[in-house]
Amino acid sequence: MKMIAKLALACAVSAAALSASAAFAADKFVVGYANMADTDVFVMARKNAFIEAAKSDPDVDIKFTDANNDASKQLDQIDNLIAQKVNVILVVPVDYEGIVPGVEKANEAGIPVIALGIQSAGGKYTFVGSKNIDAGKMQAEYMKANLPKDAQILYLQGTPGLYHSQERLKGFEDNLGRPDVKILANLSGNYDRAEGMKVTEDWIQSFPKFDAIIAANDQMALGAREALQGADRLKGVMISGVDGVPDALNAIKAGEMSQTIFQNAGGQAKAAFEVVESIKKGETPPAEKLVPFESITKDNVDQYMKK
Amino acid sequence: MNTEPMAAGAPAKVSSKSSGMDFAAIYRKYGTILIFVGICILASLLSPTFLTEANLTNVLRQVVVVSLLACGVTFIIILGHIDVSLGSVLALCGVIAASVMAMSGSIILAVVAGVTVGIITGIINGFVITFFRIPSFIMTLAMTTVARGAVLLYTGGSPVTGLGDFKVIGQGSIGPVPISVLILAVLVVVSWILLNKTKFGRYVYAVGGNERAARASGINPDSIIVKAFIFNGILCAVAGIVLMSRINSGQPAGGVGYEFDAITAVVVGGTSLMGGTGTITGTIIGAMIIGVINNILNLMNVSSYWQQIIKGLIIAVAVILDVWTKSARSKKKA
Repeated sequence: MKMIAKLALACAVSAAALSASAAFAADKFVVGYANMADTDVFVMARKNAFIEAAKSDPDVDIKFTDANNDASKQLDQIDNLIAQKVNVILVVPVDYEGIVPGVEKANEAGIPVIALGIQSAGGKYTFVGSKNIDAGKMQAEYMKANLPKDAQILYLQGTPGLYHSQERLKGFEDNLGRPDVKILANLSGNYDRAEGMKVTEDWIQSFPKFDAIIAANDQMALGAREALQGADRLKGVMISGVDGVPDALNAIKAGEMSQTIFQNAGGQAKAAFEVVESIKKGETPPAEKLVPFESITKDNVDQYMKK
Repeated sequence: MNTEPMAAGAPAKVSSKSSGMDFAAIYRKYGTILIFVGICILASLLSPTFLTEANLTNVLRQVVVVSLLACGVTFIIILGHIDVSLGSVLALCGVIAASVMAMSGSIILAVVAGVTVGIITGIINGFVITFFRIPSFIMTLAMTTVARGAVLLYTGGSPVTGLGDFKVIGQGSIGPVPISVLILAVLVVVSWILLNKTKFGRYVYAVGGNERAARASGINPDSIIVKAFIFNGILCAVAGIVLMSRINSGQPAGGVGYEFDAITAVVVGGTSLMGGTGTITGTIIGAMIIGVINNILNLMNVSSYWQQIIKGLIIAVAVILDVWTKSARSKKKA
């Protein structure tokens, strides 16, 4: 009985909170920003850039949720945003397939959806971001042009089971186009620096010689760099990552990494905010607004370091 | 334990039923070390690289962080408690140490700051658990999200970089021996002495075995539990400092899931989750077993999906052996 009373109280309190925020929402244009994980460096940078962009319009209010990489938690959070009757839902999907019910529910409720960075496998929405397959493609193009003949390479995969991990790998494999190049191994480092380092240390033991490590993000690439440096094997090994984080730019500048693929966090956030503004004006949003990846190497790293 | 002289002696003379019990007795005493040796032999057969000096140093280096966590949590688990906040407390302490390093340039200040945070989280965990009589699982679960939230708040979600000489701790060596391995060795010895040679250690076993009986014999279980959580917090902090220094940056998202690796090491090492029994040597061998398995799976390029399945199966087998050998022993006593 006590439990039920407590539950009822909790329901009452949250209902009151919901209606209070709905009343508050009435005078402002409210964006529900359902983030994938605040622990992710890149995703967080983009969120901060969006907050910055949104400052230009005082009539826009943003509500944030953090799914902490849990697809079902994210669906609950989208339900909450729908219940609060926000004007736009901007979601960074934890999962390409997993987000579909959330998008469809928002569609039914008549709330426009913007998927930021990662697409949804279904429903009606505006995609703002870069196509992950292109990141892999740009890594492949660089390697195709720069790898020596009969090169042996290693691929550090992102967290298995995530759509963008698969896309980056597929983009790389499909576009390498060098039958002489052998991919010695492909293991996951879970987008984590310590794990990328650990896997690379083991590779150093297994393979007496390799020419490149291609990583699905910069953190793993930087972990690989630490491992190679520690074993005195960095020389002659190209390392490529994705994201263009400051640490990676410094590494490229110092000649310790060869390439990173810049995913323009600021550009994506700005583009997403433009879509928000157009919805606010009552315009029909486009189906997608692409912000292309950019390949950073030692030739153009300086112009990115200034930013 | 001491009343089993025939355990290693003459299994041929006894019936098949009791020879099974003998196996249980042997397993309880030497099981983890036998499994460890077996896995090493298997690993060296599967990969010629495994037994090279470079690779073995590599494995040692890789097990340091989880072993440190495992040593600390051994005390907690012997007490019949659990700590699931190891990974995020590690991240909090490590990142604080890294940022103090970035600001001050002093390794000593950085270590002191990190360890202080570890002690504080240990005090909070221990105090709340004993004062409010909250299950340690619930309290440390709460600590998991609080510590992770705090580290994200502190860093704004970005890694701390520009650490100067900090990487000496995790990457440097004295002669052929990595400094991180030396740190682990010292703390293993400290843990072993604490658990086996001090009053505190005896009380840990007593409280874990039977809290009421311990209380009746004049031990204050609450104080023992708080002290164990403080020690555990210190080891978490050292683990965090070693990890962040190894990867040469303070990663607020680091250490996710490390608590499970550490608890697995403790359980594989023969410590019972029911409390009352367990050893530091067992825990270290447990951590080595997991480290060697991780290493050999990577050396053989086994896909991440299979790696997860294999690790899960190992935990299950370890727990089954634990329960089974215990029931064999109690049957024998009866």
